Amino acid sequence: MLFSLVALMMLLVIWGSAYFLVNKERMAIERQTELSVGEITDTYEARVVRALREIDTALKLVRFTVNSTDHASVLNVLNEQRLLPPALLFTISIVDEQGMVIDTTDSGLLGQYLTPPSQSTLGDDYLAVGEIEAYQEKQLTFTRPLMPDQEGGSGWVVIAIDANYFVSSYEVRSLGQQGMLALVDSEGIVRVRRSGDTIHSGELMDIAVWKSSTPDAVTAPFLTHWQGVESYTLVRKLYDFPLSIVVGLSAQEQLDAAQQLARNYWQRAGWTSGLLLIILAILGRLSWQLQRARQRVMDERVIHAQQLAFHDTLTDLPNRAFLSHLVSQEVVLCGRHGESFALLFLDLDRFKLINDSLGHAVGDYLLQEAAKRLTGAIRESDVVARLGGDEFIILLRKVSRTDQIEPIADELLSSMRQPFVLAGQDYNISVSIGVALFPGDGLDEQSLMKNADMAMYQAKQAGKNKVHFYSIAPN
Amino acid sequence: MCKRLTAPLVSLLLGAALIMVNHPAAAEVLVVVSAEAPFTRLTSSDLRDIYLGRRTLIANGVQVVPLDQTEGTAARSEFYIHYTGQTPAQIKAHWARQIFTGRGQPPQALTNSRAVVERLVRDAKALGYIDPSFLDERLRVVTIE
Repeated sequence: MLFSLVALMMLLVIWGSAYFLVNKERMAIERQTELSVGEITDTYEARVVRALREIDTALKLVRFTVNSTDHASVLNVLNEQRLLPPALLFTISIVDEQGMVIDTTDSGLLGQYLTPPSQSTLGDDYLAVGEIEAYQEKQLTFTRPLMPDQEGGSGWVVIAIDANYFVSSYEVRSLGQQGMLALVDSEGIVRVRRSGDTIHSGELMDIAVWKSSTPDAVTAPFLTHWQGVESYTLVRKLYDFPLSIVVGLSAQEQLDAAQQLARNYWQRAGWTSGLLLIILAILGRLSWQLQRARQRVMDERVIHAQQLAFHDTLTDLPNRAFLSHLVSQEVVLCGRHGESFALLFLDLDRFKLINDSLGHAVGDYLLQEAAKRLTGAIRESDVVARLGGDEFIILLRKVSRTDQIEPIADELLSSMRQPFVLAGQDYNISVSIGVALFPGDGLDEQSLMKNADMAMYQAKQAGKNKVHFYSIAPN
Repeated sequence: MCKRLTAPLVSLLLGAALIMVNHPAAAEVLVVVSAEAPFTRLTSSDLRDIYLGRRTLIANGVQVVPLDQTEGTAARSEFYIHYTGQTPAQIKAHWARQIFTGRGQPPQALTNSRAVVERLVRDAKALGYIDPSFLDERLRVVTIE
């Protein structure tokens, strides 16, 4: 009972704390995710802005050089001075009014036509962002007019770069397979987006709606559902450029870690509970066994105490008190059922003589031997008790007539006939027996005892080693 | 103007001639330095690190300036596949990431082996790779261990 209560409480504690930890862990991961979206966005924004500035600076440098020198191949000159972005990735071209490429770092483009940006919406000087296909790759183009002061313009400078370049900092380690780095133009068209190892573009991303749905979309990540992925998302409009960056972390992917952790916690709670139950079961069983053992010891002590209280220590026979109890019981039982029993009063002849001459130790030994012989001479259902000194009482159950008692009395007398070996010598010890019958010789224990005693006395008078019945007149 | 146009043309013709004449030789490049360069040996990992922009110094604090060849030359792809184990496309992606994250700039690219040789002769710190047919006494072949 106590153990089941303890088990219940401890189980509650275990599962309660597992629940608490799982919850805490999940909240920590959500918080961590929001923080990392912010950090990744900060870094990404800085990199994109720097990359765009480098491109814009190169555009302005080419324009300045074209306008201030009459050198035939401006790009070659600048390239030799290592003033242009590496040709490995960036293609820089000068385009004339008709859109024909007249100078370029990629000789394959020479003489081809590029579509000029529509000037009407852009004004005199501008940085236009567009896209082209080159070598089976999507490239982003950045264009500035060559002569911003002149009406109608006289050509453009164009820098083309693989769109991948702007998402090359994607790291699966921090962004996962379903995260997102994206560059989106002012109309919400995705210029380039990377999720895992795949690059997308041309999709429509309604960032205007996302931004208006949260008050602080610049610094506080918000949850979006886009293309079947729930993400913690941040959108930043870039200063000075007609582009926004979008950074997303998949909620599912980020929480996977938390779920793994939660599984671990539940599993551990399970193991601990199992262990706890086993330990408590063992403890419970041990305690039950201990209790039983203690009970047994107690019982034994009670029995021992009873033995002490109701038995004679020398001969181990029932003592006077126990006999008195047995006789009273017998009186009640036989009185109720109309049955009878006999009390035999026994006294060893010449015991006092031996006790005085050979010593108490020998006397005690004699008493023990006599007790054994008497016990051996009676029936199973009868009781031999020691009153004290050399006096014994025998309760014979279910006897009513003298002829039933006589054989037993004779058996008792003859049991003593064999000499006792005391201090190395044989001694003949006899016994005198007085008999009182219930209900004829008395109706209670006291009178029966008194009458049996009297009969024994008469047997002694008659010359010892005799049986005398109370009801029969003294001879 | 005239000079500038003829140089690539000559190299193109030369390259084509070489490919036709001696095919196995075209599939080989030599890593070379100036005869005055302070080193003649490099471990292959040093070479890879230098060309991927991971380091500019080798043992003893010697500074090394790598020279590249422009994209599309036979020597270039042969060099990168053989010495760095990466395809030109992987190299391009590598530099895109390096430049975008602000970690470095690719080695200066020259248009052909001849231009590399000219630069190496002038610069003892420079390290380059060339078609074996351009090897002369002003250069030393670097042993790659």
